[in-house]
Amino acid sequence: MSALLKVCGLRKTYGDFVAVDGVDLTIPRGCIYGVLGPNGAGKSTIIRTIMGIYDPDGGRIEFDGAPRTRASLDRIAYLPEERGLYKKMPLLDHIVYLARLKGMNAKTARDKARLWLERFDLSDRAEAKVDELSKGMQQKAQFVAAILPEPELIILDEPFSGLDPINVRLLTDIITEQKEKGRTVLFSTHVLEQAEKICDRIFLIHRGRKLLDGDLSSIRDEYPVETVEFRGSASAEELRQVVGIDEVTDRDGLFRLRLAEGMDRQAVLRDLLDRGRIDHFSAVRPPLTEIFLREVAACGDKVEPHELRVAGGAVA
Amino acid sequence: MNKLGLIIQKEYLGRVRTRSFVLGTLLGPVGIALLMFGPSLLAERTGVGHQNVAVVDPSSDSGVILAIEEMVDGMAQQSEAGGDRLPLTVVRVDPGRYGGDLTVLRDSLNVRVRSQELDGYVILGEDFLDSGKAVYYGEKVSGVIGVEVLAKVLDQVVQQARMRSAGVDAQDLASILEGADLDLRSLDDGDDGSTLKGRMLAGMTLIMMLYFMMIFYGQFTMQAVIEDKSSRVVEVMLASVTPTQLMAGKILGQGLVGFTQFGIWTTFAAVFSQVGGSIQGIEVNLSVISLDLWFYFGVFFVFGYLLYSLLYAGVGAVCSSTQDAQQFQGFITIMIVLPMLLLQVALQNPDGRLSTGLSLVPLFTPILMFIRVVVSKPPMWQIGLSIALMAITTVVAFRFTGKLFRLSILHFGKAPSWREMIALLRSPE
Repeated sequence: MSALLKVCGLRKTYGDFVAVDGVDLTIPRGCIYGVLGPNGAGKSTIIRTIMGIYDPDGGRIEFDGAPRTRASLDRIAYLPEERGLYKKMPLLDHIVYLARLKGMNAKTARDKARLWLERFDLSDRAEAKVDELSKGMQQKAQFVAAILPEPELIILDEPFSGLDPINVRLLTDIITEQKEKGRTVLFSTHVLEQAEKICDRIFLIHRGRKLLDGDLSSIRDEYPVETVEFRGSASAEELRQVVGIDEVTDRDGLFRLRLAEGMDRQAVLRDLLDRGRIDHFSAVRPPLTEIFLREVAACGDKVEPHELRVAGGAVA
Repeated sequence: MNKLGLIIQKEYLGRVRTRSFVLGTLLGPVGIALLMFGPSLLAERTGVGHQNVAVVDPSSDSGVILAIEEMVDGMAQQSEAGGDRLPLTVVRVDPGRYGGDLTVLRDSLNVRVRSQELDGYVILGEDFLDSGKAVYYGEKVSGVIGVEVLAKVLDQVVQQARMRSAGVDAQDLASILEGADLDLRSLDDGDDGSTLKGRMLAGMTLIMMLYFMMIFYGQFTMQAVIEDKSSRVVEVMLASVTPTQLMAGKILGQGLVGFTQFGIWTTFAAVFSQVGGSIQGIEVNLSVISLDLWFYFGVFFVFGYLLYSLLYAGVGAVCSSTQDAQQFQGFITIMIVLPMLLLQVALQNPDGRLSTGLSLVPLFTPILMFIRVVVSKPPMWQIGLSIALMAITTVVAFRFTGKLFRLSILHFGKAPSWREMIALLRSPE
């Protein structure tokens, strides 16, 4: 897979504040790439710099093997974090206007826009002015406007924030679908569970610096499993007596067992077999949130878990 | 269509389709029509054009009444010869029938006035020819043209009597009282009767158009820029177009809207002037505006708008709301209003040192140089210099505003202070 977008040594400062500090990022064609991190980590700055909205203070950006120019922007879709549309413009006209600015022809844009509006359940509002629509509708409309010109690269800044679970599902489906059509998606989020579901690759950023970057499953493999799930005849009390189990959490008969550091889970399994019946025993892969917190801790910092999911709290 | 064209189209259609634009454009000609035809229509409708007035001389000396009647008859014949009707008819009333009782006489006349038979009556004072005192009684005492004619007649009757007693021949009187008729014509005016007055009125109309274009459409541009910022749509826009394209699109789009509106109004005014409208008695005739005047108007209209809309757009780029824009906007608005206040200076002495100097200041040029061209004939080099300076200033404004767009169109939050604004303009990119 060749790289569609390449960012090298990107640096951006606002006065004395260093927002992005020497970030490298390579986005292969046809994947879903998640840029993850708490609020203020530098995600939007990276995206805005890629979009040419900010000029970087250092580093370079390459698109499709050549330096990114204004012309390449027509091949990149963009949904900014700060949503906004012209309030007095009819919805369909607005979407068509934005698509045409990306170089799409008027008729094609209008035909395709109608199809998309249908899929988003907005057909009957096509002639309505933007300010007559609800916030959620406006957000969907803006998403439609972004992907309508069928660009090679789709950049979405916090696409899920403020959406209800049904629309989060719809958006997730469309993002996956775009990938299947061979397009590349780069999106940012601070809701890591979201990323976990759809990303092929992730980029963890904290305070303007890269913490982790790469294939999601191989990143996970590098982290030792410390938690197992168990269901069987043993009670919580009995489980606590097993050597090597540090912590037991009861979830309606399904126990989560945290193993002591360096403990072999096969040994624990053997011990449990001696104690009675086992219905279920499985290793739990560490959630992204935990990996992230550990990485942050490793560089001597501390992030409260809630920082990773504020504002996007509506996500189920 | 290219991107700039798309933005212009969107800005243009977005405003032209609004209710306020359609109403404003339609109401404009209605206003012009009212101004041009209103007064005469009003006069005809209310019928104040003609009055029946009784004249009473309580002294029962019929000589004065006869003199008045004679003079009114003479004037009526003169008017008829000119195809008009004298707006006055004098009705004779014999005070003898009322036994010399003025109260009874007035009661009877009041009844006739209330029954609309008479519009009013005049009671001459004691020794009218000496004192010249008389009183008019009527239901209406304003807008009565006939009574104004009567006042002139009374003047003349009194003057004639006094001259007679002073030994002046009555025959010479008319020629003595004949006034002069001064017609003002500039050298450029044709001999077809187009006067400086008419040219000035037409010129002032064009100046009002310049003024409204700069001040209103300049501010519309600023609001259009602020709308992009306050709705945050600007970030989406910048993912597709450059800040300079956005700026130019806004300015040209709004400018075309103004062009459309003023074009429609001018067309209406031209049509009205064909059917003979007038403002305050002066005939409005757009044909008195010569071709070169139209040319200068075009130049000042375009550059005036470009220059000021660039300044307004620059303010819009750094401010996130109309309130924030207040302080900077006021400064620009003053620059447009100031030459309007200085118009009097330019009118009194269009080629004086002060007028010449002020008309060369680029921000004042559109209005002050244009009024000079209307009322005088400034040297060609001055006109050329003023246009050149204005063009250079517009280019400089284009660069500065473009810079403000690039640096701060995505800066939300509180508006910069004057000092920050200047620092912003001086900063490297």
